[in-house]
Amino acid sequence: MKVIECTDLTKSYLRKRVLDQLTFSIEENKITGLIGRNGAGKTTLLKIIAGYIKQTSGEMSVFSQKPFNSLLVSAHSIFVDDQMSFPSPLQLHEILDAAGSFYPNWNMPLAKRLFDYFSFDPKHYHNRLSKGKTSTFNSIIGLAARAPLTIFDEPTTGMDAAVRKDFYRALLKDYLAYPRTIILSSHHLEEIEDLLEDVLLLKDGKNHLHVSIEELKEWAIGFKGAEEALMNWTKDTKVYYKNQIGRNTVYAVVKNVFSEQELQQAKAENIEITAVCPSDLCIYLTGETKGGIDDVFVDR
Amino acid sequence: MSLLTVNTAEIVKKQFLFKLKANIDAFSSLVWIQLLAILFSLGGVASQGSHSDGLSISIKYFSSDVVIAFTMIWGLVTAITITTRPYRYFDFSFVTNRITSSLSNIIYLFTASVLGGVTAMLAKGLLIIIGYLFLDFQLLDFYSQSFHVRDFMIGTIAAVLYIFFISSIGYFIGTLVQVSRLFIVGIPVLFIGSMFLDGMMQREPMAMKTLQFYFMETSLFIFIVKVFISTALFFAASISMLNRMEVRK
Amino acid sequence: MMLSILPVAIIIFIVVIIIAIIMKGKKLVTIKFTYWLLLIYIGVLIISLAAASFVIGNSTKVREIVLEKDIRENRLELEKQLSSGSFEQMDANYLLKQSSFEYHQPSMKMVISGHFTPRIFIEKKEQDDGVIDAYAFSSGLYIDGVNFTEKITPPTFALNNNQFEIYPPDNHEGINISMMKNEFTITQFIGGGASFFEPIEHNESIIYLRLPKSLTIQNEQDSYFLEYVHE
Repeated sequence: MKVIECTDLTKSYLRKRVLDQLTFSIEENKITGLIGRNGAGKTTLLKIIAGYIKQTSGEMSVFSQKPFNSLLVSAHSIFVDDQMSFPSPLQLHEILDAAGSFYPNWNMPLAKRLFDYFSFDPKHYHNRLSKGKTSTFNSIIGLAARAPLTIFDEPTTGMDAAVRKDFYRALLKDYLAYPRTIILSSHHLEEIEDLLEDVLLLKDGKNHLHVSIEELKEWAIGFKGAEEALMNWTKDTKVYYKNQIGRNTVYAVVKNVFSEQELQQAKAENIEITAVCPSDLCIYLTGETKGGIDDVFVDR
Repeated sequence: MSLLTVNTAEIVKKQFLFKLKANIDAFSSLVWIQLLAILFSLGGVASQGSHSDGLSISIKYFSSDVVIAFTMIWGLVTAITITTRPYRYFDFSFVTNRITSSLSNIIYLFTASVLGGVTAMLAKGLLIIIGYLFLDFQLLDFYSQSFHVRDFMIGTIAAVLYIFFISSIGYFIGTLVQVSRLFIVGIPVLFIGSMFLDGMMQREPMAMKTLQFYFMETSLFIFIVKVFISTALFFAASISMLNRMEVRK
Repeated sequence: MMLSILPVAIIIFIVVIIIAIIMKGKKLVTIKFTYWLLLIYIGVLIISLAAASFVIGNSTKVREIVLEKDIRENRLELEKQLSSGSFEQMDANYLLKQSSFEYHQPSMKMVISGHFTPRIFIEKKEQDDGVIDAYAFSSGLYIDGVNFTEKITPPTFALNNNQFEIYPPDNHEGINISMMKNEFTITQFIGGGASFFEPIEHNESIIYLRLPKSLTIQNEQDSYFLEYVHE
């Protein structure tokens, strides 16, 4: 069953098109990573899915409903980010109680155990938490709610590395115990690679790539060697990235359309073949130019 | 995964209970405002004097009029507050849509009005006692009439309705301001402007006539109907405007 | 007694508030504090209401309420009775003051000082007993229909040489009255509210003098309109 179906979705603010004829769909009970540069439209998309804002044109359907003002969608989903707000007079334990009253699948023991694990004081107040603690607390709510559609928009903002690791692990474990549809947008793709099943890559508000994580790992390949030698190999495929390393050595990332033998051949020609991790690949795919930051510092 | 059916009434009820806890600050400010109003009432809420025949008489009246008036202002402010962004956004951390959000707000405002109206009327007792114990109210002469429960009930119902009505106006104003910041200036300008216009045209100000429509109504039943319909209109208008508003932008 | 609980309750309330203000600084128990505040406040209100009705019920100053028309009627009745001289049937409630003076001379002057123009009835007695009886009557002072007559100070009578002086009531302090009134939410429907038309019903005193038979008043023409009572 398709939990989310998005067709030609466009969202414009004044003259800028943040989402541009975006089309994709997400299946039930999968963890999808939503990846893209800042300003690619990730948060905007997620907020439309959650029913917070409306699209300018196009169709968005969540659980076969229009999410804006849908009580059904709201009851079956939760949107977690660092801006999640709660009334200031409520203490943390009261917020957990409130969440429990709203979400039918809420698991209080899980929430309490996570709460204690991350050393929260039940009598503390949400607006007094540090940035990292806020994200952690919000994420606990997101997890324990066990909403059929759980959306995490950069949930690890401000978290230190140890907490991030714990969070991903907790997410995975609970997802396995209690499957649901999860969308996780993050800047740290390398941290969540092992967590994700699918990746939706946004560039300029468009669906740039929507594949499984396995496909993404095999999507591109890195060639390193002499420029002329590389030229041969890269002319028949898309070059995502090119960078001058030594005086005559070039590193290029290209779409992997090669068979095993062809790659062996390349190796024979003194070209170094490396895998491209999804994180780097996404950076290259969404880059504006073929080069990198180094070009800024090239002597002119 | 099969989807559970969602009951709007259930959600509204849960939200209402949530808001009672979340807006507890409003109730503490109710207490302070009423105490302040009682303080202001200690000098008498109205006075009358006459000087005739060498006999100079001055009368001071005591009642909880001031407390009711202050509570009405409190109702207005509370209603405006819950239309502001932070408060509207709270609902979206959990389960809601814009209609349940407003419905639970309305029920909350009604509850607050009941509490405010009843305490305001009861404040008269506190006023008497404070005056009697601390302020040398031996001058206080009482009617030999006994305390009429029926009168008190009528007064309380009217007080609650007034507060609820004014809170619906506050909700409406708050909503307008959310639609466009211009209304912060626009509404007072409109109000004062219409009074100017009426003054120039030498006719009774609209505001006066509108107030009289409610304050001069002597039949409790008709008053209830008037307030009910007016309040419903204000809330309906607010809901329809809020229903299209984006949140968490 | 019940009333002694109240000061204690109010003091407890104030103490709680002070504690609360201190604690608010530490934000320790903010929510609980608000619950307590509200509960205590409502408690105080209910106790006050009970105590207030108790106080009102016990008040020695329970007064009768008289309707406006009755007040007018009483006034007219008084004037009628006085002018017809049916002195003995006079209702003692209307009598403010009574003084008697010995005077044996055949005539006297009458002086009324101050901005005071009461009606003066003069009754000639059957005989010359050398006594001038002076009475001041009033139909009463009513505010919002409540009888406050006892607050009226009567005029003063004095007899100096051959001058009978009547002084206006000594009222330099004024009468200060505090009254409860119904709230506008009640008066809007029950009535008796915002119209402050003549809540004070007070008519000036009526002076009644009983003079010895042959006593004459010298300066009658001096703009005092004396009414002679005929049996």
